[in-house]
Amino acid sequence: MRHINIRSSLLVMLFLLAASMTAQTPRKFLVKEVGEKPVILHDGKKKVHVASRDLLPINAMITIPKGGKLVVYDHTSLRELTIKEAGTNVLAKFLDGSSKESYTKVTFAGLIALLFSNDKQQDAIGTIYRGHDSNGNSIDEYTADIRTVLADSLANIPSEYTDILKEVLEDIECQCEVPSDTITNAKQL
Amino acid sequence: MRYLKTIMKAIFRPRQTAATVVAFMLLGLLCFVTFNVNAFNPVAQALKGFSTKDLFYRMMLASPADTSDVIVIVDITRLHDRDSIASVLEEVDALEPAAIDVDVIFERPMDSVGDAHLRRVAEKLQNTVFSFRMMDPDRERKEFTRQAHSFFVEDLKLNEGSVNLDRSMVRDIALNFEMGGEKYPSVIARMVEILQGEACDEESRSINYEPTIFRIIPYDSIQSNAEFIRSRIVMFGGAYESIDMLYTPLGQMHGIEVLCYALKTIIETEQMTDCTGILYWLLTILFSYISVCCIMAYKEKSFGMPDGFISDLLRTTLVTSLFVFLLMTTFITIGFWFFYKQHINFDLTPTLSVMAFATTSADLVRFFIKHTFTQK
Repeated sequence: MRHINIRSSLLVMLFLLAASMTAQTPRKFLVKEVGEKPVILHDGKKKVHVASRDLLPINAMITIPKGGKLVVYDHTSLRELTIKEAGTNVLAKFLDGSSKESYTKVTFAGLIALLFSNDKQQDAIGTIYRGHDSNGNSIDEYTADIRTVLADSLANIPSEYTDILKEVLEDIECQCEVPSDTITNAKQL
Repeated sequence: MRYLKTIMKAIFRPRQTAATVVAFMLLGLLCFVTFNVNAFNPVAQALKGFSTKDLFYRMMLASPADTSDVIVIVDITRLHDRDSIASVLEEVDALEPAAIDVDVIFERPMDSVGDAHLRRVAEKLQNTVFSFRMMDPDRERKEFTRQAHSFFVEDLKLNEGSVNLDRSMVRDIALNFEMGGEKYPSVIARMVEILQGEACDEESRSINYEPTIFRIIPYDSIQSNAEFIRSRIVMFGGAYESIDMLYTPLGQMHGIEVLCYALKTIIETEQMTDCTGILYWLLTILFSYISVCCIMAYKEKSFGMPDGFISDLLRTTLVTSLFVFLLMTTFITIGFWFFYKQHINFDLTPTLSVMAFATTSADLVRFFIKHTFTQK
């Protein structure tokens, strides 16, 4: 009887630990673009201006001014979300009414890379973003470019973004045509 | 121009148009009598206070309300000594909320220890708005003659906003008051200024009462609810104060909760658009005309049927009234859909009133035509 109790207690503790760990890691969104007017993040009593490449937790309270704009990436659904509504609210509520644009996973990988590459590889990424070049060739022609861009950008990636990138890359590995050696390199970060 | 005439002729049939005009005239007559005869004063008050918006908010209560992630209430109803209130306020401030509204007026010094503590805490607070109340209204000059402030606010030059709310039915929130030629922002305008960094210049705004649950955190559970306070808006005051009850479209509500709804209205993303002006009256006339057409079509159909049980039943006042009621329900449902889903408010009161007079006006038109034209 005593053994069962100890085992049950351990299981409950483990469950609680797992639950609290899950609860304490809110989903984060990568900021791609902020409009001309500053978007305010309420961090305690402080008011911080949101900048591109910031990571915003889903429960962050933000103020978007009239005529302001905020574009974030949702890496779980591989979508770009554009918020144009003004007001003060938590990011989750703003996202409910945002306009969503889906990207192919290759495009998303390209965009992520663009964010981390300090704009060095804009031409290659631009090609990926458009899905085809001016001659109408498909993006398959540019897998070499993708490989180069990812390899370059991985060298400069800030440590706080590695987890996100790994998650994205895992998605990409499952479903798209980015060469597997690039993924393997990325995961070894 | 000729095409327009043809289209108008096709849409507006003379009988139906006449019945609509008569229905509007009957409605005007009723309004005139109600608002000008003293005996009907309670009816006039009831009519003045009626808005389909209230009905829509009530209908919204049927679906589960969202809990606000942005605004919380810290309840101090059972806390009476100022020393304890100051301690709780200090505790809340330590959790770094985005803004605090202190919905209590500490009008005169009461106990030296508590007052001193409160003063010390108030001096340290940032992003906080204290409340004051305009009092003793001068009805002739349409302004207030006195103000009640917390005793320490003037010395410490703290941020302050008025908390005056309509005592009869709170539908709007005043954002800026004028008194003696001076402008006094309300507590809500001040809070918006803190949060959004811009002064709120509007005079008033109608409150969006879309049912929302505001978390009420008891004064002795601040630490266990820390996550709901940090970076959020805190309304600090009595959430169960029985003397601070107000009438709202959702029923009786505590003053602090009304302030929560008002603040939510101003800062939230989706604003309600009120349909007003010429467009409103044109649509009202169109909807009234459509409803009159439907009711007249029903009457013509029922009277044109050969005599029998069904036709007799359809001609009874009860079934005709049921048809009108059904039509009203359809209009209300469509209006509610626009209100709830598209955030467009269209006041259906005149349209519904015309519908109520439609059968009478149709009878009057029929009677007039029969005894004027047919005899000739």
